[in-house]
Amino acid sequence: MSVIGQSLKITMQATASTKSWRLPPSGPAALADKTVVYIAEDLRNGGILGIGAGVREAAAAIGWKVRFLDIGSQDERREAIFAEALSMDPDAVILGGMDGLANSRYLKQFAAARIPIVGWHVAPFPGPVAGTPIQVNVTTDSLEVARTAAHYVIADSAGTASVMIFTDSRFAIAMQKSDAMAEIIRGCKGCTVLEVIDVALNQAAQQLPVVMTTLMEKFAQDWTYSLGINDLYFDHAVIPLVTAGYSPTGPPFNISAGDGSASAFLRIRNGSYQKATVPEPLLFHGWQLVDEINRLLQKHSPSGYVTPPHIVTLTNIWPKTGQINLFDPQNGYRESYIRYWKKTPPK
Amino acid sequence: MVVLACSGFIYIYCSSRLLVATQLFMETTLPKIETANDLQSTAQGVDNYVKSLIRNNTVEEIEQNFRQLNGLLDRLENLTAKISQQERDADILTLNWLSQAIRTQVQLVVQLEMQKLGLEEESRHKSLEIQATLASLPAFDIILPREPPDTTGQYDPIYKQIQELILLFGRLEEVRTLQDIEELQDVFEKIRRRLLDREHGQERDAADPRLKALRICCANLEKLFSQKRQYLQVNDKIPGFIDDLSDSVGQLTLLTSNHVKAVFAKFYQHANRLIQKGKHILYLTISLVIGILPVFYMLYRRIVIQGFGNRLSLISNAMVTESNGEGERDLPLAGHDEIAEMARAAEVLLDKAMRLKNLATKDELTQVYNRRYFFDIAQKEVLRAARKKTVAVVAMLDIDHFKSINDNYGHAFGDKVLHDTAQTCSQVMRTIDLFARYGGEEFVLLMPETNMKEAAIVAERIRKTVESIRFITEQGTQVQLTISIGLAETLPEVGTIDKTINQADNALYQAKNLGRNRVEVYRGLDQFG
Repeated sequence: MSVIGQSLKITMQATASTKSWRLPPSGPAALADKTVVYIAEDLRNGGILGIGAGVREAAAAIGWKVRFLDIGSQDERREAIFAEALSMDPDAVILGGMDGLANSRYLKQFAAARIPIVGWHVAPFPGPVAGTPIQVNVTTDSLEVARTAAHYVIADSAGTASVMIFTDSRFAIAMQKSDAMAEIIRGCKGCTVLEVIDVALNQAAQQLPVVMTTLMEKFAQDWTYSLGINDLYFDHAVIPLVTAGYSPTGPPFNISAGDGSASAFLRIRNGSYQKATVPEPLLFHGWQLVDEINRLLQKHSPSGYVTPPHIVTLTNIWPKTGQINLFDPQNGYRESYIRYWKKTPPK
Repeated sequence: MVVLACSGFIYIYCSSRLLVATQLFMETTLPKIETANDLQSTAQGVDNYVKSLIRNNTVEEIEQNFRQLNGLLDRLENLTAKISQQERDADILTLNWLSQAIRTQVQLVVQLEMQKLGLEEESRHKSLEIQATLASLPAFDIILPREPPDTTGQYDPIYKQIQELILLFGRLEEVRTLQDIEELQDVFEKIRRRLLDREHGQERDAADPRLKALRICCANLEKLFSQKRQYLQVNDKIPGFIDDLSDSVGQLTLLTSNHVKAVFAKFYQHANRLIQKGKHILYLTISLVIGILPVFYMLYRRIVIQGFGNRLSLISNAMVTESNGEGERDLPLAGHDEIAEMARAAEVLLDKAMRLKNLATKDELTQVYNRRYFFDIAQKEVLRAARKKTVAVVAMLDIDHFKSINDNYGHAFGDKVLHDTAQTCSQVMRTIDLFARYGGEEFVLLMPETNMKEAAIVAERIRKTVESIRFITEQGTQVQLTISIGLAETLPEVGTIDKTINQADNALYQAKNLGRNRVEVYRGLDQFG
C-alpha cells in the first residue's frame, strides 16, 4: 500500500464514529464508601482539568468521595501536597499529568501505606510505570497519537503537505512525538518538513507571536500545514495569522496531537484557524482511572484497556452543548461501567 | 466559690479562644476572601473589557487592547491558581474550568472580531476595486431609459447588464444578513450567466474591452460575495460567544461568592459555637449559683451547724451542765474525727472533774452529799428562804441499832448497810431535797419550800422504805433495819441552819426515846418535858 493509501486508511479509522469503540473488559462490582485523592500537577492544564472532571463524574456514579489537590507546577509545594494527601487517609491516589518517575520519591509513602496509585499521563505509554509504585498509567499511546496526526496531514493534503512542526524540547515525550511526526511526513514523497520549531509550552504566549511572524515572512504560501504536540501553540498562533490576513480556513491548516483543549474544539467548530486535533478522551479516562482503582483494591488485574487515537475535525465534531466542550466517545462506556459496578444509573 | 472560679475560668477561656479565632480569621481567612473577591472583579473586568473591545474599529486597535486584556486574563489565571492551591473547601475543579473557559472564549471573541475587521477591510478594498472597474466602462454615465426606445433608436444590451451589475453592487454594499446575500448571489449568478452566454455566442465580442472589464468585475464581485458572506457568518457568531463569556463570568462570580459565603459561614459557625459555649457556661454559672446556694445552706446547716456545730454545742453544754451540776451528760462520742476525739477527751475530763467534785461534795462511802457540802448549800437555802419568806424543813435521820450491826456482822456489812440505806433514801426523796451524811450512821435532809405537814409525809415515806429493805449477809442471814427521823422547821429570822439542825436533832432524840423507827417533829423545848 502506498504511503498516501496507508495514511488514508489510518485517517478513516481515526475519524470514524466512536460508537464502535471497543469497551473496557468487565471488572468487579464496585466497593462501597471509598475515598480517592486526585493530585493534579497543574489544574491550569486543560487535560489535567478534564481528567479531574471525569474522575469526579465517575466517583459520583460509583458512590465514592474524591478530594482535589493542585500542585500548580510549583516544586516547593510538592512535598507538602503529597503529605497532605497522605494525611487524608485515602483508599487510593490518582496522579494527574505529572512525571511519575520524577515524583517517585513522594510516592513511596503511599506504597508503604499500601495505598494504590494510578495516574494519567504520568509516563509516555499506558500500563505500569517501572521504577515507581504507579500501577496503571492511563493514556492513549502518545506516539500513536503523533503518528495519527501526521498521517492525517498526508491524507488531507493528498501527499503534498509542507509542514511546520511545533514541539517542546523540555519533555522527552514531546520530542519523541515530534520526531515520529517528522519521520512519517518525510516518508511521504511529496511532503516536506519545513522546520521543527522548539517553543516551550509555558512560553507560548510570549514567543509564538514573534515566531509566527518570522515563519510567515520566511515561508509565506509555501507553508501549508502545521503540526503541534499540543493545542496550546495554536491558541497563540491565531492572532498573528489574523493580523497577517491569513484565511481562517487555511492554509496553513493547523493540526495538533495533544490533549484536545476546549479552545481547539471551538476553533475547529468555527472553522477558525484549526483544522483538526487528536484529543484524549478525558472524561472516559477519568472513569477508567476510577475503575482501575476499584480493580486494584480488590486485588484484580488492571483492565489493560487503551483508547485508540481519534481525530476531531469539522466533519465529525459534536454540537456544542453547555459548558462541557470535550471529546467524549459515544461507545456507552458510562453505562458499561455502571452496569458491571452494579450501580444505579443516574436519572 | 470553687464553682464560680471554675465557671469564670472556662468563660475566660472561651472568650480568649474567640479572640484567637478572630485573629486567625483576620490573618489567614480574610486574605483568602480578598483573593476570591479579586477573582470576581477580575472576571467581571474581563467581561466588560471584551464588550468594549468589540467597539474597536481596526485590527490594530483590537490587537493593542488584547495585550491589555491578556494582562487581565493572566491575573485571572493566577488568582484561580492561588485559590486552587490554598483552598481545601472550594470547588477548585469548577473554578479552574470556568477560568479556562473564560480565557478560551475571550481568545475566540478577539480572534473573530479581528477576523471580522480584517474581512471588513478587505471588502472595502474589493469594493473600491469594483467601483474603479465599473467606472472604467465606456458610456458608464449614460442614463438609459427604462424601456427600449422605439424602432427609430437602438441600444446595446450590454449597457443593461452594466446597469444590473451596478445595481447589484449597490445592493451588495447594503446587505446585512446571510439570507439577503444568498438571494443576491442568485441574481448575480443569472447576470454572470447572461454575460457568459453573450461572450460565448459572439466571438467578436470576446475582445470587447467592456466585456473584459465586466469579467474582471464579476471575478471581484465573486470575491466580495465570499468576503461579505464570511463577514456576516463571523458577525453572527460573535454575540453568541460574548453571551457564553458573560455566562461563564456569571457562574464564576456565583461560585466565588458562594465560596466567600461558605468561608464566612464557617467562621460564624466556629465563633457562634464559642459564643454559645460561653453563654452556656454563663447560664450554668448563674443556675449553679441560684441552685447551689440553698444546697450549700442545707449542707451548711447539716454539716456545720448540726454536725460540727451541734456536736461542739453538745460538748459545750456538757461542760456547762457538769459545771452547774445540772442534768445528764450528752456527749457526741461516736465517730473518728477531731470532734469525736474532743468529745471523748471532754468525757474523760468531765469524769475527772466529776470525781474531783464528788470528792469535794460527796461522802465516799455512801455517795450522798457530805456534811460540808450540805452546810454550804443549806446555808444558801436558808438565806433564800428568808428572802422569799418561805419555809423549809430539816430532818435528821439515824439508823437504829447500827452499832449492833457492825458488831454482829462486821464493818464491811455495816458499810454496805450505810451505803444501800443512803442510796435508798436518795431515791425516795424529791429532786429539790438535799440529802447528806451527817456523820456515822446519821443523815440530814433539807426539804426547801416545804411545810411540816409535807415534810412529815416525806419522812414517813423514807422510814417505811428503809424498813422494807432486806439485807442479806454473806452467811445468808437476813437483816432488817429501821430508821428514826426528827423534823424541824427552819427559822427565817435566825439566818443560819445550825439552830434548825439542833432542833431536828432534838426531835430525833425524841424519836429514839419513844421507841425508834418513828418520825418526830420538834415542837419546842416543852416537848422534852
